[in-house]
Amino acid sequence: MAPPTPIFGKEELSPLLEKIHGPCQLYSLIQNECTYDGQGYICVPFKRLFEECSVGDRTIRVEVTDAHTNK
Amino acid sequence: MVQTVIFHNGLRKLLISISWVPVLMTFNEHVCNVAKIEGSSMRPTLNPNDLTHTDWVLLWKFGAKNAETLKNNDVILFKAPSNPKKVYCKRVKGVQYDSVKTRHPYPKEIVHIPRNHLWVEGDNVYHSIDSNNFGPISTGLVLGKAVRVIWPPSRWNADLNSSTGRGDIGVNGLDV
Amino acid sequence: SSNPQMETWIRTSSLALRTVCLIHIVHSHIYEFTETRGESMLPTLAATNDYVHALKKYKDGKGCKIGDCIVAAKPTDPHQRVCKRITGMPGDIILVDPSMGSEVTHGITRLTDLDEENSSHFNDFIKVPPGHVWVTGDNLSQSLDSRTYNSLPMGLIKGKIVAANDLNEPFWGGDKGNFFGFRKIENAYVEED
Repeated sequence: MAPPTPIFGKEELSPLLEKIHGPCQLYSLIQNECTYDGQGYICVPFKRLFEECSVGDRTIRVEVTDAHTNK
Repeated sequence: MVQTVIFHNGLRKLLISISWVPVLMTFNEHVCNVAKIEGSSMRPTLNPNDLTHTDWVLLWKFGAKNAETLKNNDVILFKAPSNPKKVYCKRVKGVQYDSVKTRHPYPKEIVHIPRNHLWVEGDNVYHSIDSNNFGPISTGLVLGKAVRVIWPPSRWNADLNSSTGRGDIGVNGLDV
Repeated sequence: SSNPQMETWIRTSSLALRTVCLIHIVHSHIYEFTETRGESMLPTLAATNDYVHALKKYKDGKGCKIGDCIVAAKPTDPHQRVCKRITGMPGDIILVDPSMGSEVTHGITRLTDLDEENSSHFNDFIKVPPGHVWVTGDNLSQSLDSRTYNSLPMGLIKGKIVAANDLNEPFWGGDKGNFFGFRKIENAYVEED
């Protein structure tokens, strides 16, 4: 078990996102949702999107997957 | 002629010695070895005065990753959850399925320890980064159990249970 | 020695001990070829009979990156090994569970009146703590991972999976790869244009 990790929403994220001035680069990572249909597995790809932005002298990575990125 | 024989004998002995290295490594990783204690978080039990010397302990490793063999008040060494390159030495203050009373800065007053996890604290309660900061740790991070101080000789008789930090912090099941 | 039988016995067991320890040290510090089971890494790894090649220099998460496939001790049962994909590094802000599993799994279409923008799938973030990684199975529908046991301490990472052999495939010339379905397991994190 990890240290106590709070879950937060988009509102709490916005003060951080406002600090981003540098250029951002989009990355993706494809995972899947698979089901067994009796003969084999059918996998539907699920694309996760991440944005890497420089804030000051470091880079932060924020996941930007949303309902529209998998349509 | 005589020289070649001596040379071959030497080479043979060297190779035989090398072939025992993995045995020694396996023994050190799974049975026992010695470990140096750093820092003051286990004071007064370990490193009572680290200006004059640091304690070296005999670390028992056999079966140390089994949740069943670790008991309350055992002194253990484990990989720091926040940095796998660091090793921490703390006292077990709660085992799997126990409920314990936490202290600041843990966000909840009482915590239930999950399966194969441990609650660990330093004896030097106010100078210790422990489960109250990083939560219960997986027994998979445990490196071994400190069984006795082996260096310096003046500390051979040190009792590892002379102080047990905050004492009993377990929560009686009925109180929860 | 006076007893040649005894001497042979000692020689044999000493050799056996050194061999077993050598194999063990290679397995824990250098390289391991091991079987994997389960549906959590589909379609990257088959549910049965897939064997993975793991490099141990990545132990404790050393040199691991987002998108790498790793083998680790399961936090709630350290004697068990799990294969997962790293989907968050220390400091990253990621979604706890963006997958829409249920809809795909049960073929249910999302109700149109549901406010998608505010659905918790895309609004529950966590920041991965120092010394930890976030791991998810490639098959988000059937995987017990960080979404259940939270971030994984890097101290539990045993190695990185770099390749696999599917022993369901023929000795030579299968669908996945030539020799017993051999294929490289690549990092899945790629730049978007």
